[in-house]
Amino acid sequence: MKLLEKALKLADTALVRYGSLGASAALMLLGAYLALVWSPEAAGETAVYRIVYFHVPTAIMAYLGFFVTFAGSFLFLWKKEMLFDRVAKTGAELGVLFCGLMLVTGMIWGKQRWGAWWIWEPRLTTALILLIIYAGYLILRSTIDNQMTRARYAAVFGIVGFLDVPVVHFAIKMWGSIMHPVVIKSLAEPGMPPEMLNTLRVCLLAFGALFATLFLLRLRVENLAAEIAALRSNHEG
Amino acid sequence: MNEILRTAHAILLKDMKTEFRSREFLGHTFMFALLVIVIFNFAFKINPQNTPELASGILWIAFLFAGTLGLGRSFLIEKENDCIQGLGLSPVDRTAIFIAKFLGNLFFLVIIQIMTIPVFIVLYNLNVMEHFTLQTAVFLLGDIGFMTLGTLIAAMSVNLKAREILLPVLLLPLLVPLLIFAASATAALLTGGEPDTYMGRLKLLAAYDVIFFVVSALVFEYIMDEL
Repeated sequence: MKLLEKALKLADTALVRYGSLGASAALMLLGAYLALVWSPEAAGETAVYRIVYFHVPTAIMAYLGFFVTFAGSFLFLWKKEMLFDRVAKTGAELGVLFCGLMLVTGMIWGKQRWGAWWIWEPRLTTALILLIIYAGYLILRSTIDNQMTRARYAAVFGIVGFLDVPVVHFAIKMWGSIMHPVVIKSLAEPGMPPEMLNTLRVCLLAFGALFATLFLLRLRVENLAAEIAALRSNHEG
Repeated sequence: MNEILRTAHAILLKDMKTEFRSREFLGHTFMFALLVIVIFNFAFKINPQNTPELASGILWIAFLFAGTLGLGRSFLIEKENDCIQGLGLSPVDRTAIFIAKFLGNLFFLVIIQIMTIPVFIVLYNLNVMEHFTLQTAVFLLGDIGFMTLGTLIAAMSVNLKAREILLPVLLLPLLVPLLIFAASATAALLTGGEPDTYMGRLKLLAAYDVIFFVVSALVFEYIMDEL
């Protein structure tokens, strides 16, 4: 708790904010150049394969966001600190954002490769269900006015929802293999040339930096809002 | 442990008594489940060829929807006259309240199923209970998982402004794996699937039940304290 608070305070300077913003922008530009121009053609693939450099990082960031929600929820119930509730909320918002981006990039790729915007493919379907679960989490938060109630309910839902993630994935994989043949081939071919792997690494770094930047900014907004609310209730009380 | 079970028993008995004095809600929910089954007939153009394939989906959808209706009520009746405060103030383990509400909801759903399945068998001319023991096991294990998470989310949603819509919106996505396991097990039993298939599904259902029952019972107190 103390450690997190200290780290956040250290990070809460204009230098860190603009620095991380600049760093993620630079990395993003570099990543886009590498992905769209520098990276070689893939054997047997059209140019649309390059979307993988954006699709994979968004997927990882989505799961990272959901994990942050789980960790924040758990820590909130344990330590009863509102800061963790705000961390959990921020994680869910970013998770939903990146999960949406993952679905959109996946669909664009799928339109080219499969000839359809949507195929009930296990990984896509899992992402869709997760998006619905975490959108539900945010809706749940928005309907509760009382701060403490909201934090507790959201934490419970955040924990149960995250435990559902692997179960959903497993179940849908099983269901998919029954309902129709598996159509997708592995995206991360082990025999990837080093240029591709490096491009993917840079893109991962760029999206990681973007995630961190957005996380810090969003959490700052939440912290300030909580501070204002506390001041206001002090003033009125 | 004994203490918890005794408390749970008392709360369950109270709920049963109030429910069976009116009996109204049970009838309404049964009508609803029946309606879902009838409507599916028109939506899908059921014929003897496709019945075995569609039957498990129709049944599970009917039970999920009817069960969700019942869940909404289990805490709402406590909300009327602020009974929930009395329950919350009583010096009993929160887990006991969870177990009692869970058992009450489970009992309710099982009764709905006992009423609905015979009608389904007649209307669709398909004996879904052909493998009686196994199919009963599928239904029971499915019901337990459903009502575990259902009781938790229902307790949560009773306090919310938009509770009628939020209960299904929050609950159904969490139940996707359960629906996949249960419906495919029922379907495997109906279409003469491999024993490996439905036994595997039964094990998965049991695992799902255990995981979420333990977690729900543990986190329930955080919900209860806010009711």
